[in-house]
Amino acid sequence: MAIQPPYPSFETPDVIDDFFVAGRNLWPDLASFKNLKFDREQVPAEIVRFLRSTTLNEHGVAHYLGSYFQNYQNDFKLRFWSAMWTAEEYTHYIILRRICQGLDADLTEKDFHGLEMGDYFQNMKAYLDRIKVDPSIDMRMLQLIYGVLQEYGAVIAYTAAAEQCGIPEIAAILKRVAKDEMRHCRFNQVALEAMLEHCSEGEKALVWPQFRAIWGDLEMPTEHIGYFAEIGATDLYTSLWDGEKKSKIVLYLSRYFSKYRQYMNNSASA
Amino acid sequence: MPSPSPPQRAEIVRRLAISLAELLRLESPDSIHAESDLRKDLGVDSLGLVDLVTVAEEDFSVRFSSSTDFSVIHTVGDVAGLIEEQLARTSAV
Ligand SMILES: [Fe+2]
Ligand SMILES: [Fe+2]
Repeated sequence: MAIQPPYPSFETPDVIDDFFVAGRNLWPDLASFKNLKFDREQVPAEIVRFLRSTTLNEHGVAHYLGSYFQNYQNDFKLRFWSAMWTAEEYTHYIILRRICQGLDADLTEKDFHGLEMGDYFQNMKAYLDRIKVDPSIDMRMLQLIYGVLQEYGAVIAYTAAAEQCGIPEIAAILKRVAKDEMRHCRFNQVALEAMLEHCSEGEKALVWPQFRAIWGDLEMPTEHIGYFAEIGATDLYTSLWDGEKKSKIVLYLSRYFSKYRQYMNNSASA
Repeated sequence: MPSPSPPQRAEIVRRLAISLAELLRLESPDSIHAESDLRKDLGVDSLGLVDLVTVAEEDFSVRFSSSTDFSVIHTVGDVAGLIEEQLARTSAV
């Protein structure tokens, strides 16, 4: 049976405190980004499109908070974390928008309006309901496993964009964003591991198949929002995963989640 | 004591075939050869790749290089080649 609070995701709030403290100092130069100016000619059109749609995507993360709050139930530590995480994603929105403005490719009112027409809550819920491997799986576990994949996907997308953008100053900023995404990925792992300490063998046995199910039907947040399809930007995120980048994702995620395969054997032989 | 020499390519293919047959729930590994195309003949998609990587790394105690590009790996023999490369690297240390 799915564990419920009062079992905490973390024994103490220390991990969340550390995340919060680190997050305070990541972008001390944020205010200076207002003055960025770049030569758009030097940036491939595909990267400009990626930057614009990802700016919207990072802005849209805040809309998912309702879904996260629901899935984290009464687990206040994870709810608190998701609020902090959303603020970091919003910071990414500001950073990316400043880059777009510097490239003379700012978003329009129409873009923001299109973005806000999406039903984030229902879309996210429908997706998670579709991919869950067991009806009784703790939704926190499902959300955290998805978080590991989604955030690592972001690490690789920003790394690829940094490599292809053609302007060292933009590349340096995108690499810093990728670093933040790695922290997010890592946090999901730490939270998952802390939660699994309280779980039964049967629940632990769900981790590997759930990871496979998500990887086999991976949707990035942009795919939930109709406006991204309208402007042909749904797959911009994953389009930056070329063969080598996708292989990196496969290697990283397989290695991380493979430690949970043993529980399947255990629960099969029990 | 000299360390045991790493398995030859044919032996790697044979062991991979057994693992793949199990993964793909085939009755026997006999139909899997070095030339078998992972995608076309065996239906290994991006999900299957996760299983293949995991099983190959576990069974042969290797770690594929982080610069590996699986999109240019087409056959069972190609995977065996990668494993052979990693085993040679490990035994050379
Ligand atoms: Fe982000
Ligand atoms: Fe993130």
